[in-house]
Amino acid sequence: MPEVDWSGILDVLGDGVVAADRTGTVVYANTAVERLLGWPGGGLKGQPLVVLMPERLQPLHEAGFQRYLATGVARLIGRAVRVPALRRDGTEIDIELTLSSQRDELFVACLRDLRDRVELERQLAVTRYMAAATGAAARLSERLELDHVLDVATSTLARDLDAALARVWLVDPATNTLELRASAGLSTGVEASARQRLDIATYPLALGVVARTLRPVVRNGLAGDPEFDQAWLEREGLRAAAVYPLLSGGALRGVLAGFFRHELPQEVIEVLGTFAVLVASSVENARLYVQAQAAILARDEFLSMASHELRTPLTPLLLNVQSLARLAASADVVPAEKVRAKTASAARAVSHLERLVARMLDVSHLQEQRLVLTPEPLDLVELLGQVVERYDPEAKSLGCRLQVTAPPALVGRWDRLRLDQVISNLLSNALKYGRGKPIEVTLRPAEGGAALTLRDQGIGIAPDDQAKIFTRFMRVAGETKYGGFGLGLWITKELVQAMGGVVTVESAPGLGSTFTVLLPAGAYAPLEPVESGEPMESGESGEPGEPEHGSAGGAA
Amino acid sequence: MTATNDDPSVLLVEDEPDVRQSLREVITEEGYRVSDVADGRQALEYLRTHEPPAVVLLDLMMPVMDGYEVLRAMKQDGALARIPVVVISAAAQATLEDVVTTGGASLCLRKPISLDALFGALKRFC
Repeated sequence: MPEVDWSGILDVLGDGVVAADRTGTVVYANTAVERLLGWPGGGLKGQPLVVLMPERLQPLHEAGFQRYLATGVARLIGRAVRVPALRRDGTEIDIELTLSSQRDELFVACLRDLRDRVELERQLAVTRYMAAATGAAARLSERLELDHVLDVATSTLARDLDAALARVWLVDPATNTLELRASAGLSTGVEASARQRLDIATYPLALGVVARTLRPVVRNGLAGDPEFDQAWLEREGLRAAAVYPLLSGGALRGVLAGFFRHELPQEVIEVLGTFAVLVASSVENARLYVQAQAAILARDEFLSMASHELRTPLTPLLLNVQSLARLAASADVVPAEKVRAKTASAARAVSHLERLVARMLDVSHLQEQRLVLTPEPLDLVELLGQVVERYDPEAKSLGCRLQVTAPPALVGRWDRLRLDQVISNLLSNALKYGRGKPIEVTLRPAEGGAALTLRDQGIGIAPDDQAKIFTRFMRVAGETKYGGFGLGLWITKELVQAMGGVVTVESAPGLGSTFTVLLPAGAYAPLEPVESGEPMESGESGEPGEPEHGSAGGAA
Repeated sequence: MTATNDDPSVLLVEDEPDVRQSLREVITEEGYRVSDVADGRQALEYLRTHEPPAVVLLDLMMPVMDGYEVLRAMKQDGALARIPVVVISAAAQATLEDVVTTGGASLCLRKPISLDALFGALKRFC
């Protein structure tokens, strides 16, 4: 039997083998360990064993070594452990270490290179993260409710993507703040249900930065980073953060943030970025879904109200027509007065219907911003007079006195029909909600334009409702008491805005309301009050041969 | 045809002036005495200070006091509870039927109301 050359055998081993004596000095190292740790040509022999371990682990090793020598109690011997090893060039690599001792005189360490396994594990983690993101995509699309989307987003980030803390804030455009809406992972004392708010314009930390720049902040090694709360990071042992803007068509909808206790490899950061895009699109879908639901509800309410409003004037129309038909069938001669009265009543019903239909069309035009204004030279005082005259019978039947204060004339260039509509809407509202008490209508020149004020002493509007009254389909007064589309003030506001003006309200419940319309000369032509009702020369901006009472000089 | 004191009387409760006027006119022409008011509160005031009418024609959506409140008040008032109420409204059919089955109205007429439907209802209760 040939003699066994142990050294030759050890040199062909893939794993490293190193032996040390009781003083901790290396007495043997095979080729594999020299290659693995960068000590070629037998350089390791005679070195202290601690040159193979990172400085931070040396005291630990020293203590364990001395304890073993003193007591014979081994903690590591015979057991494979995963530790970092120090290469001669100062870099660290992960190894699997197995120790054995021979008669307490020789200590043998077997080192297995784990770099391939570490890489494999890293790849497996990335694969797992990608699978998690894909799974989340399926769960995100299961339901369209916002709460579901936020819950899936944060729980996936915390549970599957290994974030210690996952949070979503959503933008409140009205206040330009981020509102905390969902949270998963460690407890921070600020729960999502508290709906914490951060001011986007001023919040100094990463969330504010992301919301302002619309760019993600992804950082490994957060120590000393001024964009993070250092005390908190330290307390929670957080080492990495990934904060993403949730964007839709370039507009900020919210922020997704993950905080991690480990550093994030590049591949994982890429998966997180993809996940953030996925969450953003789901948040946007949820938002559109809520909007669509609200729009459907509003449409249904509108259709029901429209049906009610259109059916009401059909009653006098039908009654008058049928009544005329009866009279004609029963008598050869029908008194002319009766025919006149009934046809006039039917005609009124028809024009009432016409106004309703026109208003419904206006709504659709205003909604699509297709409203075209046709300004013409116009005396506001004369127009106001016409509208007041039209509402006079209604005011009389309600026992309501209309007090009008106006200069002799107030001339400018406006869209006659639209302005008629604005005044009519406000006046009919004042009559409707005015409890029959006097209504003051005041027209005066103001700030180069005109100011129209309607003051009633009716039921008034609660402070909380004063902004709502200008929105669509909104009637803050009881629905069974006051009819209407709930569109009048919305249309009024839209029309006045289209003319470059503003409409405001001052009111208190029980004390009545005052609506003020400020119309600028603005968009069309300068407006000058004239002291008499005398017609003026039409300016160059007027249509030839058109105005009876021309624009104020037309010096546009 | 002119109504006399012996003719059955109708209380018409309707806020819309044109609707009120045209209803009053055709009902009068048909030979009934008509009193009309523009909201629920006026209706209750009228009912509590006048001989009970043969029938009340009651709109639902009105300012000050709506038709639902008038119906409730009438049902709780022994003197008024038995006066038949015909609801006239442009509300949805289901809403109107509900007013009859649970609100205590005797009949409902959905606007627009035809002469035949109107006179049929008046004949039934007068």
